[in-house]
Amino acid sequence: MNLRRIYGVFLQEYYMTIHSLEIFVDVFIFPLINIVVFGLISLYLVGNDNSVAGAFILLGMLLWQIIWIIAYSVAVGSMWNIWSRNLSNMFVAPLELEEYIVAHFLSGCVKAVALLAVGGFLSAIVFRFDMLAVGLMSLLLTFLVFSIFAFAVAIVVLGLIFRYGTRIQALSWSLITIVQPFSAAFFPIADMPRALQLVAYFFPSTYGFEGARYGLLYGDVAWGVFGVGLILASLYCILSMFVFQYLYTRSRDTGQFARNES
Amino acid sequence: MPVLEVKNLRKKYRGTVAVDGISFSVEKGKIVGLLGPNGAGKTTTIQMLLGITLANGGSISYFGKDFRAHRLECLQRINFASAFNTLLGRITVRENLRVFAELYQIPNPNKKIDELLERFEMNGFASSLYWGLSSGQRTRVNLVKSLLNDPEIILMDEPTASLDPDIADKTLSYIEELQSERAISILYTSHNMAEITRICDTVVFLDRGRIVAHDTPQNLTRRVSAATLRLVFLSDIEKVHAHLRETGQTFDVPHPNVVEIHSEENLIPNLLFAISHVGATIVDIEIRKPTLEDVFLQIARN
Repeated sequence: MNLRRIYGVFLQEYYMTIHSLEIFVDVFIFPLINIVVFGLISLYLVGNDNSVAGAFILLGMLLWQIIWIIAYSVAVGSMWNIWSRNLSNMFVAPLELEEYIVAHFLSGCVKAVALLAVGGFLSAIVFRFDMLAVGLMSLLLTFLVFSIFAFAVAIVVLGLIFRYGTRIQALSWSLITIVQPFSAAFFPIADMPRALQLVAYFFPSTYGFEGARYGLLYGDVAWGVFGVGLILASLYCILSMFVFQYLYTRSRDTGQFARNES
Repeated sequence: MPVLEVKNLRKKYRGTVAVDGISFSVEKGKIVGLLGPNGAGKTTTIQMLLGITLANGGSISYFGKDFRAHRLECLQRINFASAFNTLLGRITVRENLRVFAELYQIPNPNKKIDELLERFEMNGFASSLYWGLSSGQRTRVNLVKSLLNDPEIILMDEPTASLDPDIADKTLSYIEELQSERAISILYTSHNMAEITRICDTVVFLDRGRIVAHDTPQNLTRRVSAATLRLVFLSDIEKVHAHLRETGQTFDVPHPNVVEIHSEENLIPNLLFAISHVGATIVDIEIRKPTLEDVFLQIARN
């Protein structure tokens, strides 16, 4: 992989973000509105002696942004190139597919950190919730689990769009949200219906949220929970890379890759 | 050694043969036109030559190196310009070019971008958003992009499509200058026969995925022997009609005092001599020689 080419794609993402109101709204404004809404719900619950539930809800919404933004950045970032008929230009340059994807992933990570910083600050000032109470190590591990998982989902979505065209482009910003109800994002997994718990255990995101809540409650790192989450996320990632490679190759084989821009 | 060599290239889509074993090469400093009716396989060929569509068989070599095995190395030395591919509309011209300068790892990218923008008289638009540019300006920016890496060959897919004649002519002049100044090789597709005749050294005619003709534009037009002699008369045109009927000529009468005679090109001097002795007064003579378009139509109709 070549760092300069990764920088080139990263630069494109940066230019698009500063010029495009849609991206700014999707990546910063909507998430911040969600954080404010959940912060208000959290205040309400705290005021009714449900301080733990209140903290869990706001923490869940703050951390969910990591998954959302990274998945959005990888999948929708490429859509701008397709919509502008620029994807072919990118791939007839000496650019490796891996470099392209990694650049979008890094761009997503930067945006997620920026939003977490703003959202965390807002929560501390307005809702008196200190996100850092989770613990720095727990936060880092949560970020790691979520970013790997979001990347895995996003590249499958991207592969599907390359393979089947823009008629399924809505998946690029919607598929990841299907994961949210099954990830125990806002409450402990033990409080979910039994059948849903079984589903939730298959998602790495569940372990990230569980680990973060553990850190918040006990001030300690749930190494085992994060360990399972990381292994599961890595498995998802490896599998998704195979799926993506297959879909990308099929897309070029069927001519769909070039037709995506027509 | 050719800059680009294509051997027995094939592509099949679900039972439909799009490209059927074509072979051709592009030599250094030469412009090769890729022509053919819609569905002939031109676009599929270009896509395979760029690696965005996979071939089912055959080989593509740039600079003597197999494209599949040396993809990045080849792409670093080639480039692409098309009227159908645009840059990102929401970012500025300079930002778009900067992205590609990084992808091609151009040393001192801003200097290179400035030089090329000036060369194409686009330096006043560096800070303009790409989507705010006219078609002609976009074409020039696309050409700037395609020259960022000082390519040895550029694949051009109808670069003048949708341009008005004046801008298209200017674009062709740029391309001609590039070829003469830098000895760049170009593979050029277009539907505009006049363009092809003007700039291409050789032409590859594709039809239903196969090469049906491969020659210089001049030699190709010689394949069509039919020409049209258009004569305008002042008077006594009936005598001309009678003479033409007697001698078994094929002719049209588009206007009462005009006759268009369809004949072999080499028979026209004799024909003209004979008509001049019929007694009618000729006021205008026009000989329409076969063009590349006639060759194209003949191939497409056959």
